[in-house]
Amino acid sequence: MDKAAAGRGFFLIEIERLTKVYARTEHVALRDVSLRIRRGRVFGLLGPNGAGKTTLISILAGLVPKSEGRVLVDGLDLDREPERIKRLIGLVPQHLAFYPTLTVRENLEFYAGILGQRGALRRERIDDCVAVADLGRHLDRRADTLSGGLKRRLNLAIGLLNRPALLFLDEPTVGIDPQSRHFILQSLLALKDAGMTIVYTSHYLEEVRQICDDLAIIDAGRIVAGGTLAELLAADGDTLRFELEEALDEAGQGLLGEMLAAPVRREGAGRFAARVPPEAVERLLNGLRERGLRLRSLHYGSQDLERLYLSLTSTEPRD
Amino acid sequence: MRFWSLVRKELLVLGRDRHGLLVLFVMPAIFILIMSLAMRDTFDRERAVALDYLLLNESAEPIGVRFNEELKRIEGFRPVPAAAGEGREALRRRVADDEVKLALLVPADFGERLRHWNDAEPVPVTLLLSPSAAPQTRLLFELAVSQALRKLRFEHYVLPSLGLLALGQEPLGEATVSGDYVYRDGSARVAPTAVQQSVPAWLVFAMFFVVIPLSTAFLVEREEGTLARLHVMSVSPTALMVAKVVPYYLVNQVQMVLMVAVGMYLVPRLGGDALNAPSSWFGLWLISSATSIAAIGFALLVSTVARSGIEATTLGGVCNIVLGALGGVMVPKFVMPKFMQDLSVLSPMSWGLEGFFDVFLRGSVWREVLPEAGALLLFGAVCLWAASLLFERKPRGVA
Repeated sequence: MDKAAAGRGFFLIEIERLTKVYARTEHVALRDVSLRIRRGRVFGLLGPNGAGKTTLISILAGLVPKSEGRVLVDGLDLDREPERIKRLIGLVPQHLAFYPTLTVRENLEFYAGILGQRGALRRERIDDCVAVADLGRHLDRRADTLSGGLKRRLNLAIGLLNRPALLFLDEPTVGIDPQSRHFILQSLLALKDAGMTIVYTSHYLEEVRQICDDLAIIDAGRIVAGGTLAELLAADGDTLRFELEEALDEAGQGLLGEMLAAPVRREGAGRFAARVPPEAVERLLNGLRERGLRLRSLHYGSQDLERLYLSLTSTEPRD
Repeated sequence: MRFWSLVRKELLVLGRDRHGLLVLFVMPAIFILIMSLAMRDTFDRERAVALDYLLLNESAEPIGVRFNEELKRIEGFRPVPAAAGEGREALRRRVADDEVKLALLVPADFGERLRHWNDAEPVPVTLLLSPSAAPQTRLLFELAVSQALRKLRFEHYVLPSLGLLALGQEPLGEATVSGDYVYRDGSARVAPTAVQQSVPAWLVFAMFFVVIPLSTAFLVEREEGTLARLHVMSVSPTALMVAKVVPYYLVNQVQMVLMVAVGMYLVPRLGGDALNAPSSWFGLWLISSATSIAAIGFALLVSTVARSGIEATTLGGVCNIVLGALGGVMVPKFVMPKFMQDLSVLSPMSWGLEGFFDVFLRGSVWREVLPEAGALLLFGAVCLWAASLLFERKPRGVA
């Protein structure tokens, strides 16, 4: 991120040393998280299940109290002015948070009423949201009769009713077809172009790559990497990853370190990684040949987002 | 092999379904316990508790005293002499207030009239009945008193005719028992019928069943993130809860109107007895409103305690059936043993039931339902307060 440009107004969200411990279970959901989110950008929050993404969004949306730390949204302190912050926020939860037996129109009118919108203002806001989500032909259908994609679009439309400066989307494209996903992603890009700041969580890394300007990877309640996609991939640019046909013991791993003249970390059975200059690759190849060790694969330099994500959060499935 | 795998799976699933097990085993066990205790005396002759009735015998003559002795011999009914100075009006009031179900009045000239009898005008022994007394109770008691009167006559009329009359005795005329239902407003009405008893009971039960739709809707809102979304839109938990009171209150009032209409107009068309109009429409609205507030408060409390829709449905349903059984919905309270009658006071359904009996059975004016209505409103308010306290403390993330 462009830290030189940091200052009042440049970042919409500023989080300092945020910690959340759930009192009942004593589970530490967030540990000392510091983060800044630029205004008018799409910020992607990545992480495995249980990493702390939903807790972070819940705290920012004023739904869950934090344990420690400081959160500013548009310069407003979350501790002091939570209600003013809520007026800036739109929320699109992972679940379809509307009333299935009401029609699309009735759902929109209900939420507009909750937001205190009346008369011409209400009509205008509903029309805008219907246009963004392209729901015009479905206004009088009961929500439970809509397709999965249309339901997601209604969920999005409701989150836009208050024209939020900051929109939280928690996995908004779960379980829908590529066409609907494409439509939603294009809608979000249009909203960004209109000046909206979007915080987006998803497990679909391709989506994140497609629409996010900045992102953070969170694991076990900690931010393990952050920045623009290019910055993240570049930071990993001098990493050598290789896989041998033989699974080496600790002595063998030490031998690899000697060949590369750098610490080598094990990433799995027979899989290793080290941060080395380009010329180290040749040394490794020669060393392996001399010792009769067979190479299965080798990769040097920046990798794709998925590999980066897995290398930072490990390949083990989460409970 | 595949069949046994399916059977094993079914047993495992059932064994881990806490709510299913609750409905299958715990609820019937509680139900059996309550109903067995409630109906114990109905079936157990040995332990049957006698029904107390007030006795005002104004006849000081030996025949009056003799009649008292016969009354004491009646099984299942125990005479409680009226207090000194307690006249007919005071007794009438106590019966109308349902303090006792029955009172027997023997006139001062009982002996005199029996001696100077006239076949066309039998001597009346008056039985005062509370409108909530069961028709079977009335029948049994009237039969027993008539038998006691016949015994007196036998001693004084039949025996003399056989030349067996004792010295100083003379033949007696016939006496009859005439029963009158006594209402608080002093009106003369037809005797209460089954519909008069059942409409209030099932109305209260039905009103408390708002717990099912209310808690289901509430839990769906919570599980699907709708409440989180509303919270982000600055809707307070208290506002969310209070907003649920209004529609369900209206639902309860529609229930009341419909069930009263069924009792008054549909049941007689199908050959049953008609429900009498309430003695006070305002009193009916008052007790109906208070019952509704209690039912909605209880439903909201269940909604906040439960962790899922199925848990709310099970918990709410089981609680309602237990409260109904305890509160006299399924078995009238007067057939319950004393300790069960005392326990029934714990059920808010019992308070609602008494309030509806006031206006449908006892001919009460609106002021007379105030104690029950007040208790129900207090119960509803405490439930609402506890529910909003619990709801405030519930975690509410975005998912």
